Amino acid sequence: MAERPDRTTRTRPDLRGTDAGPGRARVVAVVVVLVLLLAGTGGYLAWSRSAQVRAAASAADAEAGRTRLAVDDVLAVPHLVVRNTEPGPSYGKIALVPVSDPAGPRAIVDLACARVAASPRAGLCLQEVPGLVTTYRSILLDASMRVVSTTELGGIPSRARMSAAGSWAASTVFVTGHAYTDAQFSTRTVLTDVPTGRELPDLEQWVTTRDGVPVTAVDRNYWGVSFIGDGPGFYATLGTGGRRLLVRGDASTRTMQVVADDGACPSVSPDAAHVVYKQQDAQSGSDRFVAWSADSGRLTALPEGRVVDDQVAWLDADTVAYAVGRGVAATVDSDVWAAPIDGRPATRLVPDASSPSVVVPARD
Amino acid sequence: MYTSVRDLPGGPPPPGRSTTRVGGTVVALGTVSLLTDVSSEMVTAVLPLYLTMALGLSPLAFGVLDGLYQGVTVLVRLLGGYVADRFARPKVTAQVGYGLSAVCKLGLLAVSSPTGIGAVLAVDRTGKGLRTAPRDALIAAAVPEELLGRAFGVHRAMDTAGALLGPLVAFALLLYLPDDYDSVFLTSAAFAAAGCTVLWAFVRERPAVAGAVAVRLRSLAGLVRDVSLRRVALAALALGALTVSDGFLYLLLRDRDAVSATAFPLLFVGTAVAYLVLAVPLGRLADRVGRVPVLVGGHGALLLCYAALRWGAGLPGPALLVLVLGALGVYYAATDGVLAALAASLTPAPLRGSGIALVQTALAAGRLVSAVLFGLLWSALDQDTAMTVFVAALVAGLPVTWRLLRDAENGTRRAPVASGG
Repeated sequence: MAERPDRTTRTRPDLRGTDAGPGRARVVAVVVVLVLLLAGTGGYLAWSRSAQVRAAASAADAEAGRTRLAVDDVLAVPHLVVRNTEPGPSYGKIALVPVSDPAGPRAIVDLACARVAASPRAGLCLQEVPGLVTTYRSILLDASMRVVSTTELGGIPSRARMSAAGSWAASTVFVTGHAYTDAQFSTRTVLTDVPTGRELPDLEQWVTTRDGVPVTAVDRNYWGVSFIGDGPGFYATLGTGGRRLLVRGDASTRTMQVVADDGACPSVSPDAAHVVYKQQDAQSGSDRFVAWSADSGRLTALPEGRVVDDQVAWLDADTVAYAVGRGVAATVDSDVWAAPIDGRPATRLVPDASSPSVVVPARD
Repeated sequence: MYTSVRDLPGGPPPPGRSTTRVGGTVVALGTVSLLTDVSSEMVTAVLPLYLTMALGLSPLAFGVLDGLYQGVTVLVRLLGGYVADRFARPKVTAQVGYGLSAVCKLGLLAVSSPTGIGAVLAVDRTGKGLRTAPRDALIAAAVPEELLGRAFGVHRAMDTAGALLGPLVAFALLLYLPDDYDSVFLTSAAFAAAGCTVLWAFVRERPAVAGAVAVRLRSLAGLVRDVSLRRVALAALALGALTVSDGFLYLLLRDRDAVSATAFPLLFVGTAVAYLVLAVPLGRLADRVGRVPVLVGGHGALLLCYAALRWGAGLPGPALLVLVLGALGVYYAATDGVLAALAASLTPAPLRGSGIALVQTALAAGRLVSAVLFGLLWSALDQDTAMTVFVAALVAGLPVTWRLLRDAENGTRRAPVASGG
């Protein structure tokens, strides 16, 4: 038999061998290891904490040296609404940047959001509320970026969109039910009728058809809504069976139809002439943006090769804008880039910003 | 509740064994599991946040990741049981499993691509699969047969305590160091390393069984031929297939408006608390009145849980919540450790790793079947009909499996290893 006596029971490889307690050397070794683990981990955590405190202090100094615009001044001109990612006390807050000088000074709204979307009449902020159990909120804003109403959000914010005139808002969150034995994962996408503040049932409860046949797969996940004009029509992504389909829906009838077999994260241009969405590149397997023309039906690939964890926004009828992570900590800082949809390369538009929307103030 | 740990195993000590030290092995293994569960649940709790916020994975990529590591453990578990028996080295096998998972926590610090994370998670799951059966075999070797239920109860209670503590530690760390996921992973690795150290120092390799025949693949054939164990495996498969997975039950609770979206991730806490409190008492009960009645009773609690979800629409939300989570906790306390105890008691010591792995794999396979079936029923018909079908199937199936289990327990305990040579 392959039985070999255990190291410490070498002399007594029988039943009684199990009765001896751990040898003194072993107990000492355990104590040493545990003390080292405790000291090492504790030391690292304390060092990380002091590094964070120092970084916060220097960021506060940098903040004091920055020029800020007044919120009302920027609201009056065509502007980008973004999530500010400059290091400092204003990190994560809503920022307003004039389209005429996107790399220049910005105005800061004192409201932190993981995702933000805006229209001339209303805005949507998906917020993370840190705590022992992190919770999430969906906040509707008025034209001046003031809080109108707050509702509980059942998951991690992923996408926020407003319709052109602010009649509809759409949010997507990741829901992670924690089953006892295994992690579960799904998305939840909810449309809100902004004037009444009423939330519609989530998209999974709507009827989706493909060539007239209802799609009933249990693993349906919807995300990334983009309204056509001011709604109620919209495009969205349907994920099922490891594939991503593009659907076109109608909030008034609560129905959707599959319109493309390979598509995700759609965004409809302001004149509804184009839809830019993600396709999977056959060779690399990674995502790339394509622009679909409603007139010609032609697809034009955009050269962007970096990861964009969002739908695009529209700077004008022919130019899209989107955030790309930067540096080692791609997670923390990002820039907003602009790209023409004819396939020319992107240029940097707004530094230290993510989650862009473009707002041209209403004239009434 | 740990007062009950101290008097383990209780009763007259068998000759040559000291009560405290026999209990010591079980408590040591419980401590290893507690530390390891703190480690792994820390990561599980923050992983969705880390993946979606820090790495910005698309939902689809996440779905693929999750699916990838769900399937890994089932086969590895059988392998872990067999390797432990083949080399008569359950401790070393478990040590490798715990070590793999500990290294993976450090691996999370090093990788940042979706593929890399997928690979690390898969290896982590492999470690979990490898260690489960050898660890249960070590527990079984540490106590006399009549105390198996209690020993597994103590172990599972400590294991669950770790699972409850892990998310708390993780979120407390994230409050202290906002957005610093590396610190969470590093601390998790430290907990895992502490678990490995305790295992190395305080758990002995299973003693040699005098005159035992060397374990080979043929011995496994003998194990499968053993009527009693085959009956238990069959019953586990059937019971697994008749069980609705927790994820669906929690979704039903949400659809019944018994829980707010914010509190949804906390549902497992309720179940785990009930499990934690009841694991030892029900394990002891199983030692006293027999493992089979307790196993069947646990499924009775499950029936109550299903019935409450299916027909309890009139119940107020909080009552429904307490009833469902409580019944689910009773189910786990009455089945998880008790089934391991039953499998261990029916398997000769040199083959215990494989025997326990076989029964646990049968249960896991049954649960996979049930998840697919319930999903199909839910989408083809509706959730109420799906639930009615499962209630009816469990009512019909429970007496049959009861008989199977009773025959297994009463059947002659032939040593398959004798026929394996």
